[in-house]
Amino acid sequence: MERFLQELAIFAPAVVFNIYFAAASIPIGFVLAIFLALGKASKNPLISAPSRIYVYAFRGSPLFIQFFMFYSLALSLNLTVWRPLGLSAYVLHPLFMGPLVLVLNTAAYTAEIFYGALRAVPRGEVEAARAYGMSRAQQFRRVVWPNLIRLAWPAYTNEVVFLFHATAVVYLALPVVGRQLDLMATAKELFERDFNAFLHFPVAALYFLAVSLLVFFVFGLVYQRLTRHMPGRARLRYAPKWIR
Amino acid sequence: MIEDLTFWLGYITNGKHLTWYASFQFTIFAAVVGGVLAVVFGLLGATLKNSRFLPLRLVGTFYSSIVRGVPDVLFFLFFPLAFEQAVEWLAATQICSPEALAAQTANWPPCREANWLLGTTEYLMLASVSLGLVYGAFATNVIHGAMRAVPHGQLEAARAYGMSAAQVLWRVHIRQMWVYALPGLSNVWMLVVKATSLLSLLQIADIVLWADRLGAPNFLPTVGLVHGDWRWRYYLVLFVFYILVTLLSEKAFNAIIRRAGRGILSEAQ
Repeated sequence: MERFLQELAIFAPAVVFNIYFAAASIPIGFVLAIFLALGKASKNPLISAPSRIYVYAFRGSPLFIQFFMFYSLALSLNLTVWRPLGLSAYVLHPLFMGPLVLVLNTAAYTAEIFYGALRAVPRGEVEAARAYGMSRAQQFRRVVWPNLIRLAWPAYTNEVVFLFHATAVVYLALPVVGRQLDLMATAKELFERDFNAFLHFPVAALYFLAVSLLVFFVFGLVYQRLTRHMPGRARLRYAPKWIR
Repeated sequence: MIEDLTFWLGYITNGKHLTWYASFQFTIFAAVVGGVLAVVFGLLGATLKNSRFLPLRLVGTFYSSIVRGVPDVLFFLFFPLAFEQAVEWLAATQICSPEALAAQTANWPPCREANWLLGTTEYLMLASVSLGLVYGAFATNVIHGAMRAVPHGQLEAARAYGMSAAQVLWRVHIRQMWVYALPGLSNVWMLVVKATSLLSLLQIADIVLWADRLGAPNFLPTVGLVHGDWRWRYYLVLFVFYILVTLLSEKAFNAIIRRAGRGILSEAQ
């Protein structure tokens, strides 16, 4: 028992890195996803085709490969670009590289969710807004966006939890700088020291579970607020479909 | 121009590259076996979850929610290691002499005789099973939902014909369930395919490891072509490979879904 509590304490600083990776990439990915979703829904093929391809490519390939690809790309540009600019230490740092790739990845998944929600926005409401003489920007801000975010929120909650789980891959693909270990890297290092798989991995899993539940709770509160005007008080189900 | 072409043809067919192409078999094996096992575990989990017996229901629910609640990478690494240690521990209780146990100073294994040295084949098997276990939890959810989508009248009709509970389950319920489960299972398959990129974490010389080796800077003409850091080009190839696999699976699944849904009037088509 005491051993278990010690273990919890050892992992406490590590979870900060996972939370940092998720927290740094979620807001940027969210904003990027809005533009991507709108781009995908655009009638102009010059805008919709690239967004479509982007979303498909990043949803259709493993995050692990994306990490390797972008990191090795940054490495090969090191001598010609980053070094002369004096940015080497920043660009190649996992604390930059990790969120960068996660943003690119989550933007694609989130864009697909938003795109689906965008298509589900009731036609009549948009037409009513147009009939009232709202401009395109006003229509989006007052009618489309509130509907979209309400429709997309449960799926987006899942995506956030998945992104948090995806942060486990970061240090399996990128080199560790100093003692900056996340949960997975800590578990692996401890395992290589004393080969006690049955202690280290479950403790890391517990941390992941705990943060996931916290995300569900907070996002559930937001969802209640988003749907506060609705008669049946929509609640976010704890176990929605987890498929992405 | 022609010389260039022959040079590059020669380059991409040298021995190391051929080994790289051969290593695709590991990825394909893991994906296929993992996918099949995921459906098997999914069926098992969903049946447990539907069980009338509370402990079994709890086992099914526990399995699907806990395994989905932790990152797939974590479980993917944990299961093979845990299985190896469990086997070694079991072996240790049988074959280790007390002297050998006392002489062992390292943390693991308990004694030298009980050490189980795993090769690529064993790791590949364990990796496939662990893929099956992880994505079986996702499949459990999909299949559970699909089982509930089967029209009640169908099951009642089967019972009215005098079928036993097992017959209703296997002949009517599970046969009807596929139409509703296929779209979800196609998602699970995509997840399995993408997870096969993690094989190198279990010391399997798979496509990712070979791309890393082949693309690493090479300054010795004796080893092959002298080139700088080409890793990103090799990873780009893998990136495109996975996108193509996704594209093909999507097409295949659309065909299967159309075929499975023929004659059934529902939105699931």
